[in-house]
Amino acid sequence: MRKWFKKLTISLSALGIALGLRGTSHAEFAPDALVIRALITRHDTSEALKLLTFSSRRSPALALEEARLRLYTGDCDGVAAAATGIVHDDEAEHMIEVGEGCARVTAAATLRVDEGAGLEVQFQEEIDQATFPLIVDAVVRARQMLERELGADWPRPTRIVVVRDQLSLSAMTGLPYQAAKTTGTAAVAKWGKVTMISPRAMSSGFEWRDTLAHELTHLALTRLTIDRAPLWLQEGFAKRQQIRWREANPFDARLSPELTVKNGIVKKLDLPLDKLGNSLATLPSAAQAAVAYAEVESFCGYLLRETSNVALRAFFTELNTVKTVDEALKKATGAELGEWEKRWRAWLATVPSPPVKAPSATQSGKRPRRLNERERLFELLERSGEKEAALIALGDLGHAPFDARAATLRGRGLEAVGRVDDAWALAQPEVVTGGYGPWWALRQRLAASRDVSVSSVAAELAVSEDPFGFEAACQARPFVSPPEELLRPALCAASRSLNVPPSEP
Amino acid sequence: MKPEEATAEFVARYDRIWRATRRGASAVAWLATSVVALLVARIGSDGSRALACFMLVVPVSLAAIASWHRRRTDAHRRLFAIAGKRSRREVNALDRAMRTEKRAAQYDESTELAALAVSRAMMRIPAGDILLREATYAMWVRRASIVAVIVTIAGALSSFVFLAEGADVLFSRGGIAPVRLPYVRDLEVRARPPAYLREPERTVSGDGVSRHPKGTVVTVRVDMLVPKRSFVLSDGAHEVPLIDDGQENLVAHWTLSEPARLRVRARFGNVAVEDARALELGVIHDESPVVTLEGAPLQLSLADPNVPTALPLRYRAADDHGLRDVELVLRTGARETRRSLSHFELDTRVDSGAYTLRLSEAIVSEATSPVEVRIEARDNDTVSGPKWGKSETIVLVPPKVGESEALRQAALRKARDASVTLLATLLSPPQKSASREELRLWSERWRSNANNLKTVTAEALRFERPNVRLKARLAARISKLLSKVKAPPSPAHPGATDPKRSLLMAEEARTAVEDFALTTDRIAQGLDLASAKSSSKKLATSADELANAFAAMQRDSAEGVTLSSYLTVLREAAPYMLAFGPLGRELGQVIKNDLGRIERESASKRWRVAELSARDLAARLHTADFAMQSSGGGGGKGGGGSGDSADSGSGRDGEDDLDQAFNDAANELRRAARDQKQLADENAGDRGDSSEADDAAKAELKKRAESVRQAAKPLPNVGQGSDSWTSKGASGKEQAERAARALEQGNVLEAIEALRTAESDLEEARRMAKKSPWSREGEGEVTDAARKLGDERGAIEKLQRELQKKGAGSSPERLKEQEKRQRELSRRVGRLMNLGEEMPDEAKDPLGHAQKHGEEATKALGKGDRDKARDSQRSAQRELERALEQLGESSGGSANGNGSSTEGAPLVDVPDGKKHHGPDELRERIQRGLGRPSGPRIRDAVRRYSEGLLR
Repeated sequence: MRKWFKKLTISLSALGIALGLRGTSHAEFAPDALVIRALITRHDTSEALKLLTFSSRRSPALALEEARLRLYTGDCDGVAAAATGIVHDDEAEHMIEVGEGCARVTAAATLRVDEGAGLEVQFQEEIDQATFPLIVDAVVRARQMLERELGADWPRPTRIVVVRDQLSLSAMTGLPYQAAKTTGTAAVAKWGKVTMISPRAMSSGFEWRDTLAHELTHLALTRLTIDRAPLWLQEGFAKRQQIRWREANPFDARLSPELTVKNGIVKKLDLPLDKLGNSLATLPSAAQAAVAYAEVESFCGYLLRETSNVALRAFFTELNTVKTVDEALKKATGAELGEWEKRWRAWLATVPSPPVKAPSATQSGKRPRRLNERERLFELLERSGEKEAALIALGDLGHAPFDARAATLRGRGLEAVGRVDDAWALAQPEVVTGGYGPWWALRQRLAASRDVSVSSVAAELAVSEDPFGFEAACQARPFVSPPEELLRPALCAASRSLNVPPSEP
Repeated sequence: MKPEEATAEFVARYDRIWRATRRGASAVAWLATSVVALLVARIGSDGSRALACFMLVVPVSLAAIASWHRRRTDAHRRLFAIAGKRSRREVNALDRAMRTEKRAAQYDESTELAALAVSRAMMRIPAGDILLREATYAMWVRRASIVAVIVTIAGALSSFVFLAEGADVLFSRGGIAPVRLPYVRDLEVRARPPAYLREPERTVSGDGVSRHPKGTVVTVRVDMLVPKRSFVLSDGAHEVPLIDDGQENLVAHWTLSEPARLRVRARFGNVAVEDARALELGVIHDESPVVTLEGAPLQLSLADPNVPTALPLRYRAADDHGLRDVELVLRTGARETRRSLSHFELDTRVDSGAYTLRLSEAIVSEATSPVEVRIEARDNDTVSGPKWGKSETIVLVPPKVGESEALRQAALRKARDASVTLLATLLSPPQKSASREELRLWSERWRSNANNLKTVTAEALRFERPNVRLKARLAARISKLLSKVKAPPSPAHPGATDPKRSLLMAEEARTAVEDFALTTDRIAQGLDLASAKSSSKKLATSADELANAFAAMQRDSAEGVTLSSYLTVLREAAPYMLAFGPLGRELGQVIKNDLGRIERESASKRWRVAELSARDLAARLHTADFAMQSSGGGGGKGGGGSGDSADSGSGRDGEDDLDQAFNDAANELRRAARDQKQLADENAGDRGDSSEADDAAKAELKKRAESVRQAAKPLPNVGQGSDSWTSKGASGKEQAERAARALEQGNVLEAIEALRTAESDLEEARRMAKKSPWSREGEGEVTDAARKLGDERGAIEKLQRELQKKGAGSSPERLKEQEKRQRELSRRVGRLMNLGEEMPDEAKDPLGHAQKHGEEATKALGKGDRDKARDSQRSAQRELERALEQLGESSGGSANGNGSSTEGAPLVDVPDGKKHHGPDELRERIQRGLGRPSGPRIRDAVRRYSEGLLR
């Protein structure tokens, strides 16, 4: 029954697309091209290929879909050949450009496949292969979560491409490089795959597995709604779901989106939900992007609380067939977007601020200069082996909550001189503003002899942030030899090949 | 006698009569036919030769056939043939009788009667008469034969040459007659070398082998023994007709391009008969120029600190005939740059010279692969095309990309690390309860570490490689900070034994050492970033060229050597990049990783994939930026990075106060140098405000202007060709007009210059006019005009001296204004000199000199002595520029540690409307330049160029 229903949905969806895509730029419409596009958008690439193969005519519309299919399946070299003959078509030109960029980036890239997991990962740089097991784990768990919570299903394989920098990310996806730099984009779900930057790209990594889950949510929503989900829905749920593939960590709830939105409203950085543009990655600044993310996350959370999971899924289904988002939302939830936004903003006004001031996304992120200098002196002295002097140079951090980096350095310094209890105090979530790779690594080391489960979770979170950081990968302090038994020896070897010596110069 | 016997006898007697005659006549006939045949053969065509053969062979054959026929024929038939001519009836009767006899014998009838009839018939034939007649005929035939042979022999003798030629032609093979005949009586040969050699024509001996330059035109004049034939000159493959020169000789011209053996040939149709004499000619090929470069071949490593900053290139080029161009060629990778050193229009066989190649030039300093330096010279061979000669090569091996910078960074970090060691000592002072000995040991450690710091810092500050050194202001800053690092108390100092005081002193010293460590660290990080970026840009070029080489491999046209050289550059640079902080590490890893995939694909000959990988690498290196900018990601945290900005290695958030002070001081110094130059230019240009000049002086200048115009009036307005005196005359008039305009504007100096130029032009015109007999009148006009202009110039110079004394060249107000500005400028320079640590000491010395000169200029302007003021101003300007050099600054742009402008823009004063005289200034400068005396040969070219600019 379910299968029959699914097939009916597909057919209706295809018909819907055929009706809905009238008025696109292509002059020539062929029903089969629209159906193929719908299948490709849903990531049913094998079905699309069948139709394409059996299609008798080779019109520009079909050529365009063939080019699209090649992008989805990773045949970047073939995109230009497929799009030959299509003239004066912006979409085709864009695809050719992306195909060329993709061919360049993935030339001689390493492909790893996990048949059981139905996963293909291309690594632009070989060294990133060390993260493959972590990727597989995150993808499998994220897919299960999305199946469970959103009703998504997954055609196989799931495709991931790990690139080394934003330049390559831009080339692979078509996102303008400047826009990526401005908003600090680390991953994009487009062309049926997730393209993400290696965690090596940032010196202490970033929450890259959460980022992966975020993008997989996008893929799931695209499939569920045949890419008709509005931006607020896509980003809101992606933000919401990105941490739900794993155990919650103490910092997940620390920085609530409501606070960010409220600060953003004060600074006039907020935007109406239907005015977010085509992509949050193209907003004028990182601060505005952060506020926008918080808005949609908060809104979606609110919407889900006020309705239900069932209503949400109904909303996804309605999006496949009706003409407008408002229509679908009204059918599924009883009100249109405007009404819901009003309700949400009203509720937002009632949300109290927490007693402890958390750093807001609108802050510039700079820390006091004096602390910077002390931290640097600490690092230099630590490097010279002057542990006591390093601790003295770092000095007093003042009152909790401490900056995570400062706390990490001090904890490391205390650890080095044998004051592990004092160090353990700094490795508690309550005393720091947030966690990051090296801090989790410190917590992991210090918890190893106290609470194995805590240590294990911390180790997991450390590599989820900074897998190539020496401390996270090798479970050891800088300038100290790693233990003989390692959780992830391949990762440690990769880290050592990159950071010799760590924290240098 | 029986009839048979009678018949036989008759025939025998007949044969006896004709035998000798027949033989003689046959011989004569054959001789005559042969003569004709040879003459026919001489035509030379294939048909004529065939006919001649026919004529020689056929008569003999016929005679032989006739003789054979006679012997075969029986006597009776012969009788009938002989006698039948005259005695037909008798012969017929005999014939009938013989047939009757035969029939009778056949039918066995009475043969006696038939025999009788035959006898009677035979008796009736007048054999005697016939024989007598035949004898008479034979006699006449003999006589005719004699005559014929005489005629034939006479004819043959008279045309013996023709016959000989005919025979030669008849037996020719391959178009050449087998026997060479003596056609040439005498031969005269002259050789004219190619025009570009500028050698005279010379006579060539016909004997032996003579050698001539390729392209020589050999003129062969022949006196023929036998005329009226079609003669040609040939080397066996080509022919040139010998034509009548009107002096009873034949002449032909032969252009020598390869060795040749020339012969005269007589052409008969398809056949040629050669003369016995041959002319052997050899070819001298134009050699390529020989170029020597002093010291080459040589290889210099630019990483060697002992390599000078400039390379003198002394060369010598020589050619056997003449040089056209000498060029300096610099080649690196696939790029080549050529610079002209000499160009010759006239013959120059030897050229020597020198050129100084600065190793800071972009093509050398930015090269990532060896730079080949050589001198090339081209000759003027117009026959086979100009040839290039090349010298040996001097190879400049650039340091590995990033190598020099990495060494500098290592030295800087060594200094930093020494300060960290010292800091550690100061952070670990002895306890208050420490003993004296512990204190002493600690002080010793302090002292030792402090000394070590000073030593390694001095080394770091002294570091220098071609194009890589620490900029003066950074070095000055480090020096200043180092000077604040306190030494430990001496043993005699009370603090040496008092822990409390030691702690205090250590605390004071600690701050200075921390400042030193942090500053040096920051400087190192900043230089890391700059080095990473600059190295990345260089390597991006190599990566681009590598990608192009792979693309060419797909077309089967690349060289393996090129691939490996680019790969080597990238491979060798990667380790150095890793030393340039976070960005360098990132890019170094990128290079290592990408080289891995490129080499993998290259080894498998997957050129397309290798090309794409190389292009990917090039794109990344061109970007030369961090892999990820801005915190937060598409799905990551929205902001509030932890540790991102501090350890990004991009350095500080901004410059601190001292850096800002440095930049401010450097900018102010730059402005001061510029202002000083402007003041000096204003003074030198005598751009005083003539509207306020003395009225009398103005009137006088206007009068002079008119006189100048009048003096130049007779001169032509337009030249009539560069060879004509009118061209120079018109130029002189133009200069005179320019002088007149300058006088009207009050620019006396410019007027004097223009008049000098006019006089020079007119002198040249006079010389040219003198040469031509049709230009006497012109010569007179020119001489007269030149004299008058000379007189005017003298008067104007005198006026100028008077004006200078009075200071009437510009108004007193103008002088006062300039004096005021100069004084203010001197004060500004003084303030710069008194700056503290933001102005390095090395710059203060020239600043002091500049201030002194500025004050002298102020005094001179106050006294109205513009000349002295101008000299002092120029001196001040030079000193200010020297001070700028000490800072490592150029006159434009602020700079970072690497001497290249990557951050910040120079301060630019926006000129107000009154100050901006851009187009006018340009025109005036060009005209001033045109007005300066220059050689007459180049002046026209300079003018055309300048007119093009102005247009």
